[in-house]
Amino acid sequence: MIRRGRVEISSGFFLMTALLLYLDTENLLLLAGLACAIHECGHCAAVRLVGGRISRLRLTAVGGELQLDWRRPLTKTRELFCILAGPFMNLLTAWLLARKGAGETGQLLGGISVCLGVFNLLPIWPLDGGRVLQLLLEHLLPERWALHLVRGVSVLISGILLFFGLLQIFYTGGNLTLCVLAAWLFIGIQKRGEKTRRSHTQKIFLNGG
Amino acid sequence: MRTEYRTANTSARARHSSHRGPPRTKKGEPALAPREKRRLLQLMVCLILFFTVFFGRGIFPEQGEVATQTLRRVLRTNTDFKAAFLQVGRALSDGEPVLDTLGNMWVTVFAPGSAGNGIETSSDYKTSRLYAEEKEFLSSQPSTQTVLARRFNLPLSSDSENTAPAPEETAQVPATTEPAAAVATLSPDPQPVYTGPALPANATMEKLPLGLSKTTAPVMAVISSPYGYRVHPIDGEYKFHAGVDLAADYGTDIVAFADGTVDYIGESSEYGKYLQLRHADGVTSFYAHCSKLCVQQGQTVSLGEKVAEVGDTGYATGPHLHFELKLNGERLNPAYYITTLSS
Repeated sequence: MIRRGRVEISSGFFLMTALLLYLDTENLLLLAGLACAIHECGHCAAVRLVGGRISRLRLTAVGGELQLDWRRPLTKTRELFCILAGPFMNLLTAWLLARKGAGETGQLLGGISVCLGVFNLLPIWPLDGGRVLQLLLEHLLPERWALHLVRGVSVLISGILLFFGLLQIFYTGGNLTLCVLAAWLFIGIQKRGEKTRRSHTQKIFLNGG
Repeated sequence: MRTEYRTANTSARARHSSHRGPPRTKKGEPALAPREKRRLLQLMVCLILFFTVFFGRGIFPEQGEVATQTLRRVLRTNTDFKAAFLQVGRALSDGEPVLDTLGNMWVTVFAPGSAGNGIETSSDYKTSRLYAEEKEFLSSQPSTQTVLARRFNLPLSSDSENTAPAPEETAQVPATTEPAAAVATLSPDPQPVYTGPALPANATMEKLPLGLSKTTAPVMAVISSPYGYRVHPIDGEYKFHAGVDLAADYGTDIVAFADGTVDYIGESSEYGKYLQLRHADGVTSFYAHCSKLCVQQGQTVSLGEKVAEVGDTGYATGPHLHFELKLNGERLNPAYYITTLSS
């Protein structure tokens, strides 16, 4: 991995980007990257706004990760605000572009932003939606139970997506996109799961890619 | 002295106990370390896959073939993400409900087979109808003359195969049924030989003369779906396609086929935004799935004048122009009368 200042980029990230560059025949990657950058900026801005401090930004194959300084912890409500700020920025971008009525590039960015925003709100961990679900569950259940429940829900939903992906390949003549997406989500759940088990002292603030 | 002996004994026992051997379960069998468990699991999975393929290919060869075909098709399909995202962006600009748009996008990206594009994405030629028809024709071992006739679309006088469809076609032609000599002068181009299922009423595969001095293609594009019977890309039924689908980008100009007047414009759930032009000598042209109509009913248009823009409104899943031509109410094959790009 490469680490410079507060940014850390894993090798898997380069590999994933290479694969996407290879598969991207319509030059969408730049706009998708811009949408992701807007998403991360939303998180960063929200964190700074509520008084937290970002210690590291980590880019991996399964998404981006913002690590907060544990010396300035956030309350649950503020953390919720920060998590929701990411998809909110995406949806705001899409709404502004729709109102202003931009050209083809603007519409493309709007479409990508909306899809990214809605996708991040799915209750799958480690996407933003999964984190929100975990926070809400932590109010009701002990922390470990909340985590296990969220992981269970994530695995279940990813499994359903994979099932539907395979179903529509064999019965409706579809493509591999849904299966690949479900596989990516599974890998994300596994990898992030390991990290949380290993380091529970530092508060990890995770958001999907 | 006894103390030393005891100490020596204790230390010897301690040394012996550290070489107990691998950790044992209650039964006395060696317990597996986590890493070994994982390796065993991997081995099991690989063995299962191996035996599945081994026995599968041996015992069920047809299923194996079907699976290979499916896999090849799936790996070859090319999802047009840009068009999908653009559709979402445009729908947002137009103010359409977000959930509907996202639902459409889901179907377009993840299950294109259930709502197929106007454009063929799979390149598996063996499943195409054209291939099947040609194979059937060639396997009946036709004579050289027949093969040449089919290749060059020449009507054969001495071949029994062609006399059956010929009387059908001449019976369908209204008001131009003349003696054979007159037919030869009216249609100087050789009639194409049609060997498919019986055409519906008021549709013909003949290349009838339009009587228009100048015509032009409404869009310079590739024919993504031709005139005639086909498997409908959305509902999967074997239906007659009454026009041609010309695949073009969203927003491409559609121009008038020839001089004429706008017969009517409208919007429906099947054709989306459509318009019909009326030209001379009973010829009408019909344009559907437009994104924008640029003329009014009754307006006079000249050849090549922009009348609409390509879109994907109505019962379509990709931007294309559905173009129909009619002569006195009878549908013709537009491909004979327009130049198109080769795919």
